[in-house]
Amino acid sequence: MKLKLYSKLAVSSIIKNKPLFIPHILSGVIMTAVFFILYALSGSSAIEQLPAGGVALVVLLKYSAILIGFFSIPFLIYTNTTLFKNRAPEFGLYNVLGIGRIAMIPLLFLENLLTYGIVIFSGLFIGSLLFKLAETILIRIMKGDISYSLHLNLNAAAVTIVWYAFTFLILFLSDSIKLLKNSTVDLLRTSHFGDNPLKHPRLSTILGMLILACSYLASFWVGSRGESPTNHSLTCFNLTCGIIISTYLLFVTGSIYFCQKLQQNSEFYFTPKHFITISSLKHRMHRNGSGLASICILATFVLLTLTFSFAFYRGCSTMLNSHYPNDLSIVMQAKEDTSIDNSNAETIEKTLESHGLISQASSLLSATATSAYLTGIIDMSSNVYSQEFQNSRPKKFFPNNDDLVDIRVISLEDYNKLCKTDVTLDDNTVLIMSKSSGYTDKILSLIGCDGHTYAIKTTDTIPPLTELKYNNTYPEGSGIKECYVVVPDISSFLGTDVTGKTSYGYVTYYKEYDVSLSVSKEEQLSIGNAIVSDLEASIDHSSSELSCATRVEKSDKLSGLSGGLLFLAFIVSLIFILMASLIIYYKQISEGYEDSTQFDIMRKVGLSLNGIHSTVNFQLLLTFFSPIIISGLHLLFLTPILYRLLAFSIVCNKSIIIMTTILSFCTYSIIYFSVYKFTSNSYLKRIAGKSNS
Amino acid sequence: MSLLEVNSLKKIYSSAFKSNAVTALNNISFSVEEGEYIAIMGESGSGKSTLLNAIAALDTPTSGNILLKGTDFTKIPDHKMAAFRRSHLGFVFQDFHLLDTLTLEENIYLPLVLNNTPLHEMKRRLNALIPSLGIGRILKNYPYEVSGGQKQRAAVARALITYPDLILADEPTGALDSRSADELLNLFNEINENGQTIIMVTHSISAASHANRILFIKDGAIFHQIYRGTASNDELYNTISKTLTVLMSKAPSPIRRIAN
Ligand SMILES: Nc1ncnc2c1ncn2[C@@H]1O[C@H](COP(=O)(O)OP(=O)(O)O)[C@@H](O)[C@H]1O
Ligand SMILES: [Mg+2]
Repeated sequence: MKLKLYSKLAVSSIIKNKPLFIPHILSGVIMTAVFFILYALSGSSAIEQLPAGGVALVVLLKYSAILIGFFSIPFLIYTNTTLFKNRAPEFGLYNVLGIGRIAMIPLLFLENLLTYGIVIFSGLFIGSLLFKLAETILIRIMKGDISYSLHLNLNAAAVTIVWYAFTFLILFLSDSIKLLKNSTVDLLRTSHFGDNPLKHPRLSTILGMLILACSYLASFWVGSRGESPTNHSLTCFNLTCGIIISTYLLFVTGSIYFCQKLQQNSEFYFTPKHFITISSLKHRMHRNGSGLASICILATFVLLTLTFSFAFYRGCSTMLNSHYPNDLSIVMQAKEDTSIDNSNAETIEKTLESHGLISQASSLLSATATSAYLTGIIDMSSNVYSQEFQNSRPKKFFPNNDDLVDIRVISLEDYNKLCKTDVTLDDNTVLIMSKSSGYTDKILSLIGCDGHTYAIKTTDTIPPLTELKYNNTYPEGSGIKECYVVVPDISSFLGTDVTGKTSYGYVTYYKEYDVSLSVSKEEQLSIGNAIVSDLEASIDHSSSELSCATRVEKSDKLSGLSGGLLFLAFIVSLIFILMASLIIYYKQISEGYEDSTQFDIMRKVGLSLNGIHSTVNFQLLLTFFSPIIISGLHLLFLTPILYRLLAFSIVCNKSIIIMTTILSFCTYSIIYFSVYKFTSNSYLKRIAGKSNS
Repeated sequence: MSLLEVNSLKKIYSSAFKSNAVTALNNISFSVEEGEYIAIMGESGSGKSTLLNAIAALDTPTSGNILLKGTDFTKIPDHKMAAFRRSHLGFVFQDFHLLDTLTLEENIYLPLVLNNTPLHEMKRRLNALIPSLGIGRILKNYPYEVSGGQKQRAAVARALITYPDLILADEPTGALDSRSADELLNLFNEINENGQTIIMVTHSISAASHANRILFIKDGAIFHQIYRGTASNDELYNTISKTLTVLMSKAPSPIRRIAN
């Protein structure tokens, strides 16, 4: 019976306080939807099957999902506090009318449960709808090549449900504490409930600045390491938390401290221009600081997502060129403890001949090895992955990539053929080149696998290797040092006994065939398919791993995937922006009435309408644009990490990354600005309407 | 020359649909001499606030004019109006009209700040006001931290600090308890004795009995006026209540009663 009464009360109070509940529920719905999408995507097999950067993207998505999950808590607490603040008099009144405060707790619980129900249901609904939409587009573009499992979506849904149940439990507890802690009179004093003066504005401002500076420095530190940021996930996580915390501190207390400082400067403060502006700014920040901080963090997040997706989209062709440089490429990788299986090589050549392609193909034998680079000497004689090597090196140098160099050994004959040069080498000399300029100049000598020392031939007379089309190279800017070593004869250079050497990552042999096809796309595809099926049947798989792909096929998939991702990122960003603007809009409307009485008073006391309008405009501009300006700053300082992350997996072109960053910032600003124009007009009308009457 | 002259003032509120226009003021004329303390009484809806707002230049009359020291301020252009208002007129409102974003001290300074008055001058003027207003200890508080009576005294300080020609008060005791109301009325008497001209709208007979002259308004027109002459507050109180009885007996709607 009691439950029935309470549920009735809960439903009616939500309906009655619709304007207050809507922003709160809306924020919740969007948080859950975005959390769900990100989490589901991070478990999607489509992403993992990406030819390049898939793993990084999965990490990034999961990371974003976790961040959004954690971020939801302060954000929803903020919207919930606003809600509670406005409803405090109602609770106070119940109390006056004789309902005990303890007795109101079940009501609060039911209200929160109901809100949670609405939020989770709509959030998952909208989330899956968008996810399905993106997925459908992806599958269509990728011609159904990717297999999806429903299981992963269910998993994401379950995680979403549990996580937000936890979040709403926190909201319920904070409401209950507030209800029990405050006296009835405090509850009844409607408009100033919770407007307590700050405790230590100076201290927390300084703390906020320090944390922010540290976070920014950490970003540069991670960016300066020549490795993937995923290797520094703890630092990245701390840094992200640092940025979130400092943003809150600076918006909530820093802004007020700043205003207080200005107010203390009487000569500055007591002038017509600054007096009203500063005092009302302080008031506004006091009320909305945490809301603006939330919006700022969301905006930063949106900007990062947008930048990443834009870069992914723009970097597609670069990625294609680096990973699939040839129309058709057949790469045979020797398995552990073996060298290249020559009979397999012959099979490949025969197959190509039977398709009449042998004249368009060029072959290349190469071997990769990860070696130590120590003060000017490349040492290939020890296995850097072996325990002895790791133990003998000072810890701080290992496994830092600065100390490792990835070597690709090719024969002089192949080199001369591919680069159309006529270079000769002495027996004890090798050629060394690298993509990053200035690096090879520092290399003085090279110790071969057998411990023999080779002299280095000067590099500046050698034509650039850009003519060479390799598969499986690292993108430029990834921070991995990659050297090409040209030797007279590969097998004598690496030694004839490969046992124990060709284990993973140490030395691996490759034989690749690059075929150029000058026929239509469709024909290229069918040729590729024919060759794949021929090779699968005839090759001895015990000694080699074979990968065979046409560029056309990969290109289709890649652009489809990047397009889909961009689309999704766009949708997510749009939701974010709309949400942020809606929250601001609702705040404007709810404060509009209060503000209009304030402005009415100002007019009666002798402030001209012009003065009022310029004050209103300034406040609107500030509330709308301070979050986006600060988030732009965050983005700027996070660029080093973003660059590393992108460079490691996808794009290496600095200008592309800068362009995409700017592009996403502009896109965001334009959408945001239109929303601002739309909402501020209605706000101004409200204010003007009130104070003119 | 009188300090204030109101000549055949008319105010018609017309809504978007012309059919139900309300005549709030109907040909009101009167003048106020320097140093006078005038109370305006009348039923709710009789046009008192409309009259005061017109004098305060917060509202433009439909016809007629108002001269303050010979200047017709219905003719002052809009952009100069704000400055005119804050240097010649002071206001006290029923609901105080203090800005919650400012401390009481800052609220009091507001009109002076808008006039670009130097800080030391503002401080000097405030210090001169503090003894009679008794708000010295709460100056750094915000309006929502003090009582109604204290708020109203701060509002009076804000009105006085510009040394206005005229103080306009619309039911200043309306939201106060009787003790605070008495204190405020005594304060008004005190500042009036120092030569300050005051026009006060009120519902309360006891408040009106502090004034030198009482104007009775009915249906937007002046119905009657009483001069104090040599009468004491109590005698004036009796006269006012008698006048009000007459005023009400002729009221078209017996349900509309005057509060208090
Ligand atoms: N802004 C307005 N629009 C239309 N009618 C108004 C407006 N303000 C006041 N009135 C009308 O004018 C009349 C006088 O109002 P007012 O001066 O406020 O009365 P008082 O202050 O004496 O109670 C009333 O009938 C009221 O309804
Ligand atoms: Mg009135």
